Amino acid sequence: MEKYALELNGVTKQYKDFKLDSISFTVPQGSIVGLIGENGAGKSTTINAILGLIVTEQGKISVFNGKDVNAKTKEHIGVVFDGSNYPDNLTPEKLGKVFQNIYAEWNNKKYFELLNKFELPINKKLKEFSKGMNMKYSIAVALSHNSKLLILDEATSGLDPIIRDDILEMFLDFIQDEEHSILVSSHITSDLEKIADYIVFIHGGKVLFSKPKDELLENYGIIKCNSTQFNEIDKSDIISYRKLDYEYQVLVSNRRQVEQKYPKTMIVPASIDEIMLMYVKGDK
Amino acid sequence: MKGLLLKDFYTIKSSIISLLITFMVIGFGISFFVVPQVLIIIATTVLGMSVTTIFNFDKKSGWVKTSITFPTKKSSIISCKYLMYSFVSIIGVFFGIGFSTAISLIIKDTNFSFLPTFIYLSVIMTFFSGSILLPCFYLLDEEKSMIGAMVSYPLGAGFVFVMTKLIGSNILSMTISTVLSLILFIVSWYFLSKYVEKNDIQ
Repeated sequence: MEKYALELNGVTKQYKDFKLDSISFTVPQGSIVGLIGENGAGKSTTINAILGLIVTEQGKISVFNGKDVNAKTKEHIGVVFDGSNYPDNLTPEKLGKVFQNIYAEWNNKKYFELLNKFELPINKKLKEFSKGMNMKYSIAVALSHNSKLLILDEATSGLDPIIRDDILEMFLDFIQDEEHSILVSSHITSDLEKIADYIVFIHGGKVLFSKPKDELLENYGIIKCNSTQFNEIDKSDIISYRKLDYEYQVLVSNRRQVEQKYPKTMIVPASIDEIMLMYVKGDK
Repeated sequence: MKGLLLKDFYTIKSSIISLLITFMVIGFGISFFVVPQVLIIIATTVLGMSVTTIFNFDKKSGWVKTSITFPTKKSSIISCKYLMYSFVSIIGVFFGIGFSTAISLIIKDTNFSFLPTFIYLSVIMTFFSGSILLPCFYLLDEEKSMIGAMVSYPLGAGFVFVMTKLIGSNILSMTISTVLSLILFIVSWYFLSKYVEKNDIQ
């Protein structure tokens, strides 16, 4: 039986103008799951629901094989939000003392090792840190209390490619322990293509799909064709399509079969970005 | 909880020191015109108010959001504010007693008959005003929460006035007022904690 670090089942939250509609997906233990979707799709709301920042109306959220998200299980959940969410008038040294009194399994040695590794000054106030330094600081905190599940909400947005690459390396290091898992929401799908094992795509508050990344990249494709060729395509093969100025683009989920079925059309592999774009902007 | 309190202490430590220095300078000047024991109420109020600034600071820095991810109950973020407010206000009472006594000795006004009354008034104002101030600063935005500050102290003064009119200006009246304001403070703490447990964090 597969073990889950995180499991969402029918999670629903109604706002005046938005609904998180029966969100269900899992984060298998030992894996990295990428949460993708456009702005306002419901990624952050989903993460807020997992962490208890918002109260959901329906559904169940469990961590570490069926346990509730509570004060005890939060001990092993490391969270990184976009930007700095720590008091910026304090230094890492003082915040270390604060966290030591918050987390029962706080590892001060590891905390200072990580600060040293990230070249973060311990006596400088966080307000003097750059965005990249603040993000690294948040990750250092998340990794210093024996976290088994990391939840990252847009943790790499706004960072330069070099820092992003460093951070992705850290995530890959973290996942080497098979008890560790990561849920990461990001706009930067290229980052997820590098590290994620599964992709969960949220659009309009609903999960459109939750699939292994390799399956997506292996099977999904985009047919580029003219209007005559487009009319010949079996509609059941089409997930969505876009009519551009001089061609049709058609998203399919069975690239190899479609290649054989329509040998005269050009089919290219679809990136996660393109799949997302076709789902959101394409016609059905 | 201990960690959250420590963070709040670090946050206001520097402002408390500067507030106390300002208070001593202004308080020394005031003491020539009023009974020095009035300084006990001023010290308590000024220090208590410093805790309310943490609410806006926490909202701006994102700490409220972060603290929900900690292995503590959601209501801990409220409890630590009520505890810190009480703690800092008590420091204010003791500091006020010490400072006003020193001033009394300096200006050779050694009539301490008003001391118990002003200690009572400080405690009543702390708890009565705190029960209004703290929910206002948590629930409202920065500008609107100032309304809470403007309303709570006159209401506290009005409460003392009504109690003295009803029972008389004596120790019994002060004791009953202290107990009632403490009950109001605990009720406010309880309901705000329940509210936070059951509602979304902004």
